[in-house]
Amino acid sequence: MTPARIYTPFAARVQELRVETRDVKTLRLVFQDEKVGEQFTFQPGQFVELSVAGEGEATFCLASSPEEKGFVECSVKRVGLVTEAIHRLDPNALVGLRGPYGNSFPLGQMEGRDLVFVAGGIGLAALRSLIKVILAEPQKYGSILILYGARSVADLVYREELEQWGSHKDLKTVLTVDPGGESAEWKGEVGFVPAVLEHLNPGRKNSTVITCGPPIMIRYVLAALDRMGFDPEAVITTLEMKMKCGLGHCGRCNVGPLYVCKDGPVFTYAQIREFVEQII
Amino acid sequence: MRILERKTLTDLLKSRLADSQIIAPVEVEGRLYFQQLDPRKGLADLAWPAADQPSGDSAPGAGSESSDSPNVTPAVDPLTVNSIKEFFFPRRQELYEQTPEGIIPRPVAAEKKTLLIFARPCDARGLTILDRVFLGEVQDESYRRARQGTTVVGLHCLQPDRHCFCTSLGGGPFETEGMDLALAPLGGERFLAQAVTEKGEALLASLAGKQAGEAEREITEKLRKVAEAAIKRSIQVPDPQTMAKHFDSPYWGEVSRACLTCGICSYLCPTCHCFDIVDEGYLRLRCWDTCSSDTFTRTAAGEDHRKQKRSRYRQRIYHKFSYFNENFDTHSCVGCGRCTRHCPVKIDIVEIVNGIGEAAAVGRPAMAGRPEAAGRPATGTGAKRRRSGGKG
Amino acid sequence: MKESALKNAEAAVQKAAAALQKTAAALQETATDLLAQKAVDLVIGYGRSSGGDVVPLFVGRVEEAQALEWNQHCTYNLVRYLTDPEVIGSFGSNRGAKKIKSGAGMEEATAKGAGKAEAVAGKVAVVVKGCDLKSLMVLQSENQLRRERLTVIGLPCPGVTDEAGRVLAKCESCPPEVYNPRKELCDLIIGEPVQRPAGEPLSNPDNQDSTYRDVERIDALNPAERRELWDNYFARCLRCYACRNVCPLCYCKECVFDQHDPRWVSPAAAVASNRSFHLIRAYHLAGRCVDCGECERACPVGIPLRRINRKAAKVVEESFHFRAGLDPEAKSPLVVFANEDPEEFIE
Repeated sequence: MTPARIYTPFAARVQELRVETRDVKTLRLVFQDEKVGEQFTFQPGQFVELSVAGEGEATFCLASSPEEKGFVECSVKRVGLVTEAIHRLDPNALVGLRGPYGNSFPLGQMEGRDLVFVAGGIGLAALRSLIKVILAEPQKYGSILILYGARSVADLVYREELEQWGSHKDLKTVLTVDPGGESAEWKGEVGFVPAVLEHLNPGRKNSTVITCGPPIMIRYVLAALDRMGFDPEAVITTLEMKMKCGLGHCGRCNVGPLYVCKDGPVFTYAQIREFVEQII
Repeated sequence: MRILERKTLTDLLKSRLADSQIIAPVEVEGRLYFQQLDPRKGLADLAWPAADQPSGDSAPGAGSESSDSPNVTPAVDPLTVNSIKEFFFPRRQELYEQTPEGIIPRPVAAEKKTLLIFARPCDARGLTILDRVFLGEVQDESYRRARQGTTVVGLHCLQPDRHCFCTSLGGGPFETEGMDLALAPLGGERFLAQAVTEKGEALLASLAGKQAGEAEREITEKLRKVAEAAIKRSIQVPDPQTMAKHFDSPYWGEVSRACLTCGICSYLCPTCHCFDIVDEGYLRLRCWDTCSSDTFTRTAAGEDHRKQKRSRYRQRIYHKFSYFNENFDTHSCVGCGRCTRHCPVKIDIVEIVNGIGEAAAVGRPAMAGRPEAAGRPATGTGAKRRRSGGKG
Repeated sequence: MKESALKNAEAAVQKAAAALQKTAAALQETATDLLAQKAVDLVIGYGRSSGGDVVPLFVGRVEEAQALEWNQHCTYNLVRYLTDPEVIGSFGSNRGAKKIKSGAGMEEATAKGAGKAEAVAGKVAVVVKGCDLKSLMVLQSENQLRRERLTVIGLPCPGVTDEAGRVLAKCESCPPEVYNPRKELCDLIIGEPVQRPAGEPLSNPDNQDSTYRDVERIDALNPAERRELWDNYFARCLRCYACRNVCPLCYCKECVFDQHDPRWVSPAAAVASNRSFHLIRAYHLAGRCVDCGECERACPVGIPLRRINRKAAKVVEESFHFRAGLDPEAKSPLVVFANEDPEEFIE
């Protein structure tokens, strides 16, 4: 369902603003209009534009599962004007929400395959929706590995989920922090995500890799996957360029001939391989 | 085809002042702009295409042959400074208000009857290119209404200037793409009028004018040949493989060195359509933006994959001559030449595009005075994928 | 009066055509020598595009020096490129990315065009007319150049023209000590001193009434008329920023109009925000602008921008008896304080 005017957002209210780390909060929103809330649906991988009065709009991937009814969640890292304003919202404050935009993860193609999730920092938010959907029906998929890293222990997001996933029988979770980011009690890995990935050396045959993180991490992970011989068609990433309209009109988010808002944000490595230098 | 006297056209415009917007070339302090006519002033401001009158031996502004001075242009530039895109895609457009209490949309302007007169073939064609963006998979409502409500009366060009290069991009001084009604100046304040669309037919049917005869058609054909021959510049867009091959060439640093990264080329271009969405207090609006700007791709976190102006200039060229074609089956350029004509440092887009290939292979553009690189195949227009239906 | 002055100037231009050719040849020779001897790594001068227009030319190789030109269409102020890191590399005091503190915390803003700069990090030669040289003086006084790594090639100038061949208005009022660049300010002077028809002696700051006639004509309007005059111009403004970007003295790494946190002035082109843009920029240039006229030349919609800056210059001259760009040591009175400064506003 889209609003009558393509730029006008829905009104949504802040139900919860959960602290994840020192600069990341997860925002839970409820649509002001119940009917909108009932009809709003999306696929994992899609994004929305959230706006705060007088501060502007910014792009956020939908981090909740479409199965979770009655609310949507986005995780917000505080980096500028809009994100700072979101971090300061009171409960019940009003925000604008436009979307959902973009394409989504090719769930159908993932069925029956071993899945390797490689995420860094706030990048896990882009994969959270997908992981939740998959874990609702794990029998459809092969083995599942989640490799997640952050700069330091304090920067790991989704502690609750990480614990649940750590003890989930259908998946293996490996957590890592950058060298120097470990604490005395840290029991996980220490090393940059791409390095830990190569160390783990997941099998290539019948595997699909899904990766998201800071641009520099994506670049090194893709290079590592190349070295490890993964088929670029079976490597999936989700990009985030600076976006404005979300509709493929304003011309800002292109990567070569591809618009991240329209042809993405989910891409296979094969699609963007020749443009990787441009975007990272 | 019919012959329309000047008086027929002025009567038409006068009669429309009351109930329509009229957009026409207006001269302001020696420059021509498309502007909406102020109905209180009648047609006083309208710049009749006098400079375009064919005048036999004494055609003004044909240009001297002196190598030292480029063509001396007439006091009034026959091509308007601005294109006509701003009447469909405004420079600034209010979208809605968002307060802490709620969201108050701005109504989309109702379809307004508009008569846009004396649009050049390049300008008219530019609209058809913008249609592919704004009337594609997602339709921009205000753009659509403006397009539907506007009748485009085009004017053929008799004297293209030295910056024009429409013919090498599928356009031409006597082309009609994007026009509803096309006018060819015949001299003596008469025009040969040709309906291009149903809208144009309806308009023409409402005007008095005798049928064009063989003589008039012959004159028009002659004028067309003269005008086309006057276009000396030819852009030769390399094929996509060549474009891709030279993406990383140091050529882009060389050709963009003089660039000031302002917005003139983007804002005057009939096909550039990038915009920003900004807040003015609680008002959210969109406004023109340019990929040349150093803030265009900069994120709040400070990431920017086009920090250098060479990357941005390259993006401009590749978007217009590679990516857009791949998505929409046409280059995003109509050869009007405004970008070079008005660039404060005369960055020459034809020279730069033509240099991809030979010059990019060696990393530097050819210096003026050296023989142009040997010809390369003109671009194929086959697109890899069709993006959208467009207005048709 | 103005008509005949213009006619005289045009005649002088034609007479000087031969002299221009001679200078161009000498300039090519000089540039060849400078590059061959590796005295400089880059010569910034004027060339010509294949479309026939005069363009800025960046000559890094000896054999390309032959493409340098000098004629009455050489209007560009090339000094503008001395603060462009992508042109001159790490020359001067401009370097790399800059961290700016914003409301949200630290935000890394990228410098205007900085990043991996060209390998031309060495010595640069620049061709200047007298008006261009004035802007170089201001850059020098503001520590934006390492003068010792710069070779300034001054060219006596008969006046430059627009594309229709008409001499620019700014040339009409240019005094001899400007259009014949002073030896002590340049490293090289190429070409014989030019003799233009005698204009009014404008270098005397006391001779104000002949200097700012265009500004005075506007000052003579009442505020409502003035407001309407300027708002009509500001309504045309596209916010292309060509005026700012062509200006040699607008070299801020993070221009106030590019900041988005907070956003001081809306980037959308409309009369109110355009007015703010032009007036704020005029204030930032007050006491610094040398009236090289590039802003007005660059403006695609013909806004008479020189008049705005000259208004500020007039006020500065009246208050401080100072004119920018004549002395590389002199700082703009608006950035320094002297006890003798007028204080009429405090009584």
